[in-house]
Parts: sequence; C-alpha cells; structure tokens
Amino acid sequence: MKKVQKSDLIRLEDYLWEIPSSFRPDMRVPARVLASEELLDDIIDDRSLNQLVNVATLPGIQVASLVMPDVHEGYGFPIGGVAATLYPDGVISPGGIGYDINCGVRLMISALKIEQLRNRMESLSKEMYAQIPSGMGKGGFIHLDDAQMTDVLSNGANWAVKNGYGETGDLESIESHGRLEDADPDMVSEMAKKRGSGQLGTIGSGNHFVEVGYVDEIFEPDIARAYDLEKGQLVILIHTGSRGLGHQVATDNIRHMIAAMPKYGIELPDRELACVPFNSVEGQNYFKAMCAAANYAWCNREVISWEMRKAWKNTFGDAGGSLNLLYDVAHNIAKIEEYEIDGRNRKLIVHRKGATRAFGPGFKELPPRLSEAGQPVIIPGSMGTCSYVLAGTNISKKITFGSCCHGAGRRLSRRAARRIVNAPALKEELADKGIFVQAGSFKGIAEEAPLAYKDVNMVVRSIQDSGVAKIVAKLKPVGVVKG
Amino acid sequence: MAIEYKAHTADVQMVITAKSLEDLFMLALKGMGNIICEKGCDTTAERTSSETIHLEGTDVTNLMIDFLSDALSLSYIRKTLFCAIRNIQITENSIKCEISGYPIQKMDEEIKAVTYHGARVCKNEKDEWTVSIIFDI
Repeated sequence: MKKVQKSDLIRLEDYLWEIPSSFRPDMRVPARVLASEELLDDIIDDRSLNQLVNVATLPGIQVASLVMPDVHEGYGFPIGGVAATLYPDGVISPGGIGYDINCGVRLMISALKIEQLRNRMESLSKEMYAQIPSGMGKGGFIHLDDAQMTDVLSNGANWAVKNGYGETGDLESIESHGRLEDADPDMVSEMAKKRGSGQLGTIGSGNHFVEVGYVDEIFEPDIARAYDLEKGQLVILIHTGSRGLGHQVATDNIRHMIAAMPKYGIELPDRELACVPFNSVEGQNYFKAMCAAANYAWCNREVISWEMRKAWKNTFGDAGGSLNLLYDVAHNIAKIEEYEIDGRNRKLIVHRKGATRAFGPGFKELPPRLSEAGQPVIIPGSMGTCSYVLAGTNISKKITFGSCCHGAGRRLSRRAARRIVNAPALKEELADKGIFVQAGSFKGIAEEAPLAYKDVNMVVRSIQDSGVAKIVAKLKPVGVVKG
Repeated sequence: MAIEYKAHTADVQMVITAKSLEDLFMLALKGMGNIICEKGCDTTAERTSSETIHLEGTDVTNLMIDFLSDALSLSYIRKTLFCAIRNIQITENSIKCEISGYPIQKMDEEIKAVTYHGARVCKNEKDEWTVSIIFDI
C-alpha cells in the first residue's frame, strides 16, 4: 500500500492535519493528526500514518481516526491513537487499546522540597528498589488466591484500600475512581489469572518506572494551586499497567475475534486490528474482560503507591510527611463516553491507545478540588529529561474525543538505541546531572535513553497550542527506578 | 535455516526462514526463546520440562502466532524457557506438538505479546518457508 506523504495531508488548523477519506477507498472517515508542522515532518518518516488510515476503515468509526503528536508506529493501531466507534453496534478492537490494558500514570505529591532531599536520593532509590518489585517477570509480595483475584478484578483500587494496601482518599483522584463497573472476572481466562496472581504491586520492565522528581516550573498558577503543586516540591511519578494479566486478556480476545470476524462480515487490512461489534457476544466478553484488567491495573498502581509510601517513610521518617495522590489516568483503554455528533448527543466507544483522557472543567467525575481546574493529565517524558502536568480543557471534546498525548513518543527502536547508547556512560552522565538511576540492567537504561524519544517539550507545546490541554507544570527527575 | 532480528519502533521483529513448516515452527520457538533469555536456547541445558500444545486455526499464519503466544504464556506460568519441539503433527490449520525446555530464574526481556501484525507464513523465491513476526515488548 502506498505510504502516506506530506502532500496527502490537508492543514485544517495550525495544529490539525487531515488525510481525506478519498485517500483510500476503504476509509470510512478521514484520518487526522494533531501536531505542529515540525513534529509532523518527523511523524511522516515511519508508517504510523498508514496505520492511522487502516484505523479509519473500522466499521462504525465516527468523525475521524486520530493521532496525537507523540504518535509512533505500532503493530496494527499506531501508538498515540484515538478511535471512537458508535455505541452499541460499532466495533470494539483490542488492538485499539493495546496489550497492556490500562497502562497509565499517576502523580503523587509530597510536602517536601527538593532542598530537603539533599544527598538522600541514593538511599531513597535503594529503598524504592527494595520495596517496589521491578524487572523482567519479577513477582510481587502479594499472592492472590482465586477469591482475592475475583475481588481485585471486580473492585480495582478499592481492593487495595480495603485490604490495607492503599488510602481511601486516593480513590476520588483516580480515573473512574479506580473501578470500572462493567468488569466481569468470569470473562478473564484462567491463564490470565495465573499470570496476574503474583504480579500485583510490580512495575515490570520496558518503559515502566517509578520516578522521583520536583516541580521545576509553574505555567498556570491558579490551576497549580488547585492541584496543590508548588515550585520545588518533590513528586513521585508511577508508570505501569495490568502486567501479564492484561497482556493475556488482549492475546486471548484478539484470537477469538479473528475467528469471529467472518461471521460479522468484517474484513480488515491488518489482522492486528481484529474487531467485532461491541454488542456481539465476543464484543461484550472482551469489554467485560478489559474492564476487569483495567481494574487490576488501577489496583496495581495503588499497591505500588503503598510500597512507595513505605520507602518514603523508611527514608525520611515522620519528617517526610504524606504522599498524596494528585491523579491517576489511563492511556490504554476503551470507555463509553458521550459526544455531540452532527448536533446529536451520541454514545461512543472511545479507544485510546497511547492517548490520555483530557476532560475540561466541570467534568462530574472529578473531585470538587479539581473540578474548576479540569482533569489533570500527566505526561511522562523520557528518562532524564522532564515530564509535565497538563489540565484538560473542554476543547478536547470537540477536537480529539477528549484526548491528548501520553508521553514523548518513541523515535528509535529499542535495538537501535542499544546499538548507539553506552549505558554505563549514560548512567554516569545522568548522575552528573543529579539524576540517580536504579535499573535491573544496562540494556534497559540504553533502551530508554533520551535520544530514543521525541522532544517532550515540543509534544506538549503542540498539545497546548491546539487548545486540548494547558501546560500547568514542568517536572524534573532526580531519581528513577526501572525494570 | 535462519533466525534474523530486525529493529522495529518500540518492538522486536524476527524473520525466520526454514526448509520445512516443522522447522519453521521449531526455529520460531527457539528465536523467541533467545529474546526472552539471550542465547538461552543456544545452550545444552537439559530440557527437563515439557508441555503439549494443540491448536486449530483458520490458516497456518494464525497457527504460528497462536502457537508462539501459547508457548509464551506457558513460559511465564511455568517459569520455563521453551526451546524445542517434539512429536510435531502439523497441517494448514492444526498443530499438535510437545514443547520442551528448562526452568529459568530470570528473563532478559519481557515480551508482552506475539502480534499478528504483518505476519504471513509463506514460501520465498528459494522455495523456503518464511515468516516475519513482531513482538510487543
């Protein structure tokens, strides 16, 4: 199939580009890119826009398939993509959510300032490494029996709070309050449950991490005040998902859907886009299992927060104060949401794969302290650079189905990064900059080197200039624990 | 017969060529094992663990991906690196075999999934079987 060229795109607005549905006869809607021209030039290099065109062929897709400025080539859907299909008979596609169901980030805020950390980062990161299991296939401290697994899959982060691994106050600050009510544990295979039974409270590997940082700059003082963010304040960023359980749920259901698609007369340009009508048996089975895996992920991040709080207490004692949750948001998920389409309110199945929900002020799910400011959006940058806190706006609902970017976006493959990067030297270079890295392997450090990623500053600037979210604060890292 | 690894943004791509379909499955399992544990399937470690895989699929490409997915899941659950295949019976839409391997304490790479993206089991111009597989890492 012909590769998308820049000349195939029409500029709709400064930061919005469109590949018209006439580009390929099987497209049902146009494909849109939210990015500055500079980032677009980079995006054109890989095949992510061809993948975006494939997404525009999904039955029931509404308005346009979309990618955010951190988009990069994936394996079916592009990473950084959003696709909204009509409820209830439009399709649901596990590939539009990803294998790591409810991969997401949360930001915890402390009462300490960067000056109070002094030379204790090394001891804090060693304590974090001891308390938070990370790395390849590493198990956690909790082993769930069948009844506990059912409880976790049904109740998400609530399970952690109820069982002493979390704090009640956290729940209101988690997307969907840490629990999707459509979850059905019976739709999760025994294989998936076995894989997840010993992994609660673990980070895993790849680009997952727990990072200690501080607020380097405030851009929106009023919103920052609502978010309780102050310049110099120490913060904790946690990035992980549903571990092996979520991977297995996706694997199981993509297989079932590939077998079921002929029954629904669905033909697609890529098997990895496998999908079925949302209201079909297979669609409902997947959705209920996906909700259960999402609940597992929220519970996982809550347990990791508990481990982090222990590491904090062991390092600083009572002087460290508490770690409060600013917000926890998913970036690999499908949600049923309502949007105005052609003047009518319609329920849609919004798939976000490497895209973050970014709802604006007044969104009812938000706790009162956040309601006027809008939903916090947490954007981790690459290791050793910086991360951002954004605030969603009501424009996002008009342009991007209430979504924005999820990170910096990879530009080099892991293999290429390993070839180029001298990991021990990078570790020392980061240490010279005051960033302490505790990792399971040098390979992992090389793969996550800053040069493997796009410039997160450019990505969030694109988001802000498009109007879908506002930049509230910039965070700088001082310590990272990764698998 | 060859296993080749290629760069793919955020993921790992593996290209296998083999003289027979049986060898293609055998090499694919070995190639995946060597991603999970670097050179882990090049050793002479005694293969003390075995599991049976029996699958049906709409075509041989789906069979390949589903076979590797099942072997991957079993690797995580059994904490075993599977490297070899015994007693393989394969048709265009079914496979029955025994996979064997040895226990492992740690992994070098956590593969999230074996994807169907761009995968196609077919014969090349040299009449060898070939397939390209992308792993989500």
